[in-house]
Amino acid sequence: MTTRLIVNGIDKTFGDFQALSDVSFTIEPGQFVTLLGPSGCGKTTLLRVIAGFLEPEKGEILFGDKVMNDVPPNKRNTAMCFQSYALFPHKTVYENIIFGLRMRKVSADEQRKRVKEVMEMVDLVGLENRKPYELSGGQQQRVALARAIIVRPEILLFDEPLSNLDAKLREKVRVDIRNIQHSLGITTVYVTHDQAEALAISDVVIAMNKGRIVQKSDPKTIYNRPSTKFVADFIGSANITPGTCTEFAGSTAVVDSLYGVLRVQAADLTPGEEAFLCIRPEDFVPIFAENAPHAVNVVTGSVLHAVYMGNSLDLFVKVNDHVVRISAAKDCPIPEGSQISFTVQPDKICVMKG
Amino acid sequence: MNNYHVKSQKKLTRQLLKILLPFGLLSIIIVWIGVPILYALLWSFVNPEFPWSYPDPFPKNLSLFQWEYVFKYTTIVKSIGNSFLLAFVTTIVCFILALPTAYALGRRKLKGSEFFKIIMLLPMVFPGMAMGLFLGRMLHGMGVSGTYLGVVMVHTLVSLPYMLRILVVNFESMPQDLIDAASNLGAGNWVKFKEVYLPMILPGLVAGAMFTFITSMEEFNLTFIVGAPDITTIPTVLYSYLGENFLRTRASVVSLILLIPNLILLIVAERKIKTEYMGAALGKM
Ligand SMILES: Nc1ncnc2c1ncn2[C@@H]1O[C@H](COP(=O)(O)OP(=O)(O)OP(=O)(O)O)[C@@H](O)[C@H]1O
Ligand SMILES: [Mg+2]
Repeated sequence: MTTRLIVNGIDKTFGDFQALSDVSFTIEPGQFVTLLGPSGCGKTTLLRVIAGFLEPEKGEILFGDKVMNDVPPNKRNTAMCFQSYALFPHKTVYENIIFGLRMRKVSADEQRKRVKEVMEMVDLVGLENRKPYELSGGQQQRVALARAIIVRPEILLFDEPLSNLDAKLREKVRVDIRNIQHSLGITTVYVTHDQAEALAISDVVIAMNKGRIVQKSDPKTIYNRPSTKFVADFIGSANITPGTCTEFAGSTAVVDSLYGVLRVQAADLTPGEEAFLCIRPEDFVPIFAENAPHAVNVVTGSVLHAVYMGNSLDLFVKVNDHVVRISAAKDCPIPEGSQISFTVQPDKICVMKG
Repeated sequence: MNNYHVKSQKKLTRQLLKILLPFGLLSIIIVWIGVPILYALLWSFVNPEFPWSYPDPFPKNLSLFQWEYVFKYTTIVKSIGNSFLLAFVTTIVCFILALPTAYALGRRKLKGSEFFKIIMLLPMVFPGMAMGLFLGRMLHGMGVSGTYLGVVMVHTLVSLPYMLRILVVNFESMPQDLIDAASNLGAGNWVKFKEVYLPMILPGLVAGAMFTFITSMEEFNLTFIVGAPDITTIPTVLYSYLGENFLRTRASVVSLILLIPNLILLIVAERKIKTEYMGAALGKM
């Protein structure tokens, strides 16, 4: 019974503020899609439109081939995990969690079985009889999560469901969510601020900005081939430089950038054209005397800061008055103040037109 | 050294204030409320054959004479029944009228609802007598003066603003997400009302019912104008002893009869609100 979700040309305004502009995308049955974007870009609004709490001014929501615009929220068979948790304050944890099952007239036996399963998953066993105000913020959030997941609806909507959990628990619950979702094949829209989380669990990432969809791609593509400066900058850290193409031959362009002249593998650039280049910090490789004397794209600068990150050593290098960020191997012997050269492969440079 | 001295003195003053302030407030409350009740109690037990007059700090002789008299020879029993009946019915009528109105004003973005919210408070600020005179005429014209219906109508009019105000605030402060969550999980209108709205406004409902009940119990002006002489309540009996045939002892008895149930109601409701609902209403969301 897995369902395709189609969002087609949605506009939503609050007064004269346009919260969503022409939002369109399709999510294949059983896919896990993450909405990623800065605060206030319209993620929650989009979920609320899909769930049916808000009526869009324009556009359609389809579940499979059913147009849902006129279907009230309680008939839509979605389950949403709210950013504000929205737990019923007068109900116990247990009563909160089974609410959706009761509404769906699931048998008492099945209710008990599913509650046990989901309580274990979110690590709440023993708190069944507490009221929400007797729980910590993170525990409340897990109740909200359990209350949505237990329903096993056609479409699951998560609005930053793990924002209040510590890193360890977040990773565990995230894997559990993914497993349940996958085994039941529930089409899922998941909102998060956390770009690492988005890349880790999604089939597809949708980047949003100011009420518009900027890019929809699988995690690898959105990270390696961001289509705009905004996406490159928002997802991971990026070195971004404007550049002018001076030469184009075969599939390689020569681009004059802030970091010097770089050879770039690109599909379509014409001489004279301006574009932006995105280079991920880990794609810059420091050059020492012994390796690659004939390296291409060699850039030289002086190290301003060397920051030990645990899994890498991040260097902030001054190149032609611009700061470039490089992720070097964590045991790299590079002191602050030293001169270094580094290189980047032409196919690791991403060209963006906007 | 000197500086230190000043500091410690300031600290001492603050600590003293911490103790004295509640103590002072408490004594004011006791004097304000306790002393009149104590006097009413003493007066109600004064034996009419040994009048209590100025220099004596306490009555010379106590007896149950006035209590027996009031219950045996006046309409008080019927009036007590009337008062409770009217208060009870008024509370129910207020509840039935206020619930949908408060929902509409608090949850729906209706045009003019801000205006209406002010209008509905007006009965609170009109002087009772002034309103009573005109309303009395109107109700007389409608043929309901001297009837229970008429009295319930005026009691509802004066208590409804309290009930409405409290419920509107309750409805307004309910987070939309909570209602949406219920819909999202499959709840229809009836379930939403029964399992979300009602429990959430329960503290307000209890408070509103308490106000309504007590307001109705204590209402004099309109009750007198609309109800007298056929329908007597505890306050109208009480006022009759404050008029020309002023009888302090008997008035004391009647005021205690009026005070005691209200006081009990207040304490019970207050405890109930605290223990049962406050937690739910104030839980971190
Ligand atoms: N009911 C409303 N009335 C007016 N403006 C609103 C309303 N709801 C949302 N907005 C505005 O719409 C924009 C998008 O809000 P939304 O809640 O969707 O953001 P978001 O992407 O979920 O942000 P966050 O990551 O901070 O949760 C915001 O600028 C917000 O101020
Ligand atoms: Mg949001």
